[in-house]
Amino acid sequence: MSERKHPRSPWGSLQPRAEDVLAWGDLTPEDFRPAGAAEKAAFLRPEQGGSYWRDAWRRFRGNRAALGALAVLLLLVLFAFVGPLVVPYGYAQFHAGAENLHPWHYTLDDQERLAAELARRSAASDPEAAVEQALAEAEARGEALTAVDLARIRAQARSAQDQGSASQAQVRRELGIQPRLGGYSREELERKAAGEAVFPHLFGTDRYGRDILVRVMVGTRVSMLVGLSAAALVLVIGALYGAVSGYCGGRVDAVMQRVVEIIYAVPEVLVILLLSTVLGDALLAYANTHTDLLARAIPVLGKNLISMFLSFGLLYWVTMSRIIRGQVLQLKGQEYVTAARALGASGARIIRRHLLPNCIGQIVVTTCLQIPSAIFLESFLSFLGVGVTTPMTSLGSMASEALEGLWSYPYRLVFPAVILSAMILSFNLVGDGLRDALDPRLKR
Amino acid sequence: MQQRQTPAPPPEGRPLLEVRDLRVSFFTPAGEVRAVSGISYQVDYGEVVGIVGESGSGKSVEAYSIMGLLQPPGRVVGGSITFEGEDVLSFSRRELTAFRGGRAAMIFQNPMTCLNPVYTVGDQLIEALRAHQKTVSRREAAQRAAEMLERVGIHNPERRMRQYPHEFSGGMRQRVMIAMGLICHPKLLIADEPTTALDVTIQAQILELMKDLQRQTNMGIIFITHNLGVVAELCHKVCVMYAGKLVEQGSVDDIFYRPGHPYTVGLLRSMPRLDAQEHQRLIPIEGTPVDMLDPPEGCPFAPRCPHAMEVCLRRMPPYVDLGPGHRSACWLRVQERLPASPSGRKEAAHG
Amino acid sequence: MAEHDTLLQVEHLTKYFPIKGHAGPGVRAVEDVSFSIRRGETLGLVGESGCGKTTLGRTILRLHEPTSGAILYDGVPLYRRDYPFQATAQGELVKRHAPRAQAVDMLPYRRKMQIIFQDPSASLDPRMTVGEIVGEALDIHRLCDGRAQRAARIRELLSMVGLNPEHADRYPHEFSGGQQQRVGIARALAVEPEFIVCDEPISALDVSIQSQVVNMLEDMQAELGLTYLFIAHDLSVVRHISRRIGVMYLGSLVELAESWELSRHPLHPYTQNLLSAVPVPDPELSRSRQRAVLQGDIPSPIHPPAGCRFHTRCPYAAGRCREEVPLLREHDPGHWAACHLLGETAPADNPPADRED
Repeated sequence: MSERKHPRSPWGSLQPRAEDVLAWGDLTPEDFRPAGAAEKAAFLRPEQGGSYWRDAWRRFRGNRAALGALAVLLLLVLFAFVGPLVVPYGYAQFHAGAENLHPWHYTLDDQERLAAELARRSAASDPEAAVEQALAEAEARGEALTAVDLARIRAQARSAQDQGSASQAQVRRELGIQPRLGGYSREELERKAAGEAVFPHLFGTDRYGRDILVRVMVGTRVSMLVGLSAAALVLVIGALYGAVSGYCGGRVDAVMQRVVEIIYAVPEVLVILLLSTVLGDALLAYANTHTDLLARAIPVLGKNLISMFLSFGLLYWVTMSRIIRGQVLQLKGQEYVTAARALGASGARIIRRHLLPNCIGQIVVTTCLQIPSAIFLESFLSFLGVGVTTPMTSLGSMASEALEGLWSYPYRLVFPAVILSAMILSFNLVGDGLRDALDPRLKR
Repeated sequence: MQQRQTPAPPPEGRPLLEVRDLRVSFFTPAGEVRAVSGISYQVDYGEVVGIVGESGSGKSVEAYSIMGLLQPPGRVVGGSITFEGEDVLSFSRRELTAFRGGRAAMIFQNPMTCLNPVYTVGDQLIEALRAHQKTVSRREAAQRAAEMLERVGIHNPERRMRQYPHEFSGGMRQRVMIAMGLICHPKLLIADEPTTALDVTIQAQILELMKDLQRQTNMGIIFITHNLGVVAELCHKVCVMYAGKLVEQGSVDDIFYRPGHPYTVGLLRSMPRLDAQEHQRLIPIEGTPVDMLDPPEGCPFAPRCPHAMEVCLRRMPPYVDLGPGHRSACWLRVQERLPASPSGRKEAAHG
Repeated sequence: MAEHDTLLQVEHLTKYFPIKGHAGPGVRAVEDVSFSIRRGETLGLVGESGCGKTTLGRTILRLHEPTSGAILYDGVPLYRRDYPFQATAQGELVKRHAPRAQAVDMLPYRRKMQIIFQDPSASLDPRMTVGEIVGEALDIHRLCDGRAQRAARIRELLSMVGLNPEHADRYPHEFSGGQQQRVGIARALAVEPEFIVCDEPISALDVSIQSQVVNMLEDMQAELGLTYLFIAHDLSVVRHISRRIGVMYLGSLVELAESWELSRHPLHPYTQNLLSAVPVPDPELSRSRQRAVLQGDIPSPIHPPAGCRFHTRCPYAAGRCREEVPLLREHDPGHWAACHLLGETAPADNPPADRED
């Protein structure tokens, strides 16, 4: 034991010194027995393993924004697919007498009170009554009114009448009449008063008397399906093309990339319009002569939608293929790919087992971004009137229809637009969340 | 025989840097990771202190906290860092900026990522100087930068200063980094694995350079590395870290010839040596390091220690002084000092 | 097939990486390297980064397509092609005709020759479980009938490298670096190879883990009769594990000798400097030792110096070194070196090794 001259350790230790430990008195010789292997093993925290997907879900759950977006998407799916089953109206069903309904209504009593009040007021300002009154007053004064005077009096009365009708809202306020939720036509209100259960037009109706709620639901469904299937098409073609091009490299890559550049230079919308013009008759002929799945799909989808899918398959995968190619170029230099080659794995196996699974983050994110862009394109085309064909509807064509009565019925644009935006935002957020969750290296 | 220069006594009787019971934690969503838990050491003027440890032992985190470079979620949660009598942890942002690069400098493992690729090397050196000494004219700064480059062994400095970092080789870039660190004549230099990314012959060049500079400038150097060979070449004192704890510290001779902790012993024994006379089987340290998240009580090395005792699993051992400036945190050393302890354990640890 | 004592023979192997839009040879990563490995031995290969040692290892496995030379495995040529360049009067290399190498189906040899990589985390596919990684080799070569046998073999391989076989369904990132390297070794062993290229297998590991892996590689060699080509930059590790060591500098082999001979009597000035540059974990020794520090950096392999590649940094370089490429010659039995200074006569006359003192 060394003699210690310093009162404290030169290191400035805050740990107890051995001498102090000896004074603790709670150490027994047993404490200094060698520890067994089992005890040492128990000392370490048991390692936790978890399945890949469970881990991914755990990480995804930690991402609030993505989780919220997923919830919104699920609600939208319910809205689009279950909603039309709940609402007892068809998306193409006309309701005579229920045209241009607002999403609110007034009870029959209120309507009558309003009508009576308006009648009273308008009686007060009837032009003929005003003329008679003026004539009577003139007679009493012993004057005579010229035709010009009469015309002036009539015009004054009429303008006062107009003001009276324009201030219906004011009259309602004065009478304390409150709007009620849900649009009903007068006929429907009467049926309801008769004790019949009548489903309200929650979002109102359009100028043909079609229920807007159910049309928004169906439009959402169309947009979602178009987005998902177009993205799936892009995913398959783009990922395979990109992976092959990146993995093979050299001359194969050069040729494949020139093809991509040519496709980049093609204006997509023109191609869609061209295809729908050219294919229109051919598709109709096919639908009339065949009975297979495609033939049955043609009348449902319409030529515009089919040519849109075709152009997705032909043109829109290039971005995906570029991204995947870049990723593959980076990944194929990785040592685990070299290791697989050293084991004798074939190119197809390396692409399938190593390269594509490791691109999954990029693939998922790109796909999730592709869905909104496909939805956008569909809406855009429908907005222009070259998308889905009537009576089928979509969010884009609804927005387009809403433009006519935008000042009177702004909600006809707001409903589809809000749903479209919520859907696109949610797909983007979920895509981001998935990318983070699917990367097993970001464990915590 | 070439003598390593012994450190000059501190001018004011106080150490250049004193770290006391420093604790640094990272607050991750999964819980608190105690990257550094209670380490104390001091650096004197002209002294080279080596900090040895494996990846994840907390040696770099500890250096970052001295420089105030810790990024969230990392935070100093306890202890003190005193530099020439001033409390570094209480520095304001402005004081810290003046301290970093002015009185203390740091060089990093990867010189490429620390140099800005879009500025010339000369510009970056001049900037580094003028950031701290604002009165220096640009011309004067350029002259001093050239002198500094010459001093770290870069020939033709006027021409080299007009070049961009990518025109320099790895070893040359590390020289530039050293020049940049030294241009304000710091009193403390922290070198975080400065030679790990370099080749052996280049490493030898940098080590010789650091020895020369240290001899000439009397600055204190903290040299962080996992390479015991480099420590033996360069350092006066050594701190051995394991899982965020300082398990042994002492002079370089203490650590290499009289190691007092089984981890130090294991490290020394597990290395193949170029001066071995015949083929001997290596004696590895079995097992793998503990998970730093939620580490157990007790000594973190216990599960890998061939001499682990029951007490080791329950309680962190206290430091035991083994000689002047040499101490180790190991229950074996405590046991030797217990009145009833059976003698002869010492050999087991020294092997 | 007859058993040859020499398992692998490499003759004048050259690998150039062409640079896009650039005529000429490009990056001259490996140039005119010849050596052979005997069955069951370990040949170490040391050199600094950029010296071509990793490229050499991968070119032997045909993971890079060689430029020229020959590779014979167990007497069977896997590759043979003439040098497709010739030097002009100015010393530039221009293409000349050389017929392409005959295609050899490598698949059977993939079972015999394997590789272990430097970075254990990069060499394991992060999307596959450890069991899938080890099992992939079994699938490619159809080494197992049925799932049960495959699962049993995976468990056997994992326990062979000291891992818990229960952990087969875990992902690589759940393991520490040392354990990941064990997985990489299990993958290489799955096909029951004869020859393994160990490409810096311990450089990325912590000091306390390195010796575990070195010991395991030694055990595997003893148990399975493996032959190693052990590539590393750490001379002390290479000397520990190898029977013979080759030293590479800028794409060429400059010295080849028994490992103890090489460390005691290095002939080539580069080897001497390399030995002297390794820091020794012994303060006493490092204080007393005067070491020769090489000046300068490794030149670019795109424009390597003419003559001896090392002459730009060699303290003894003479006129001849700048003009003529020295050939690898046997100076002592089994001790080869490529240096003009060693002379045509016996090396003991004036070996540069003596000049150091």
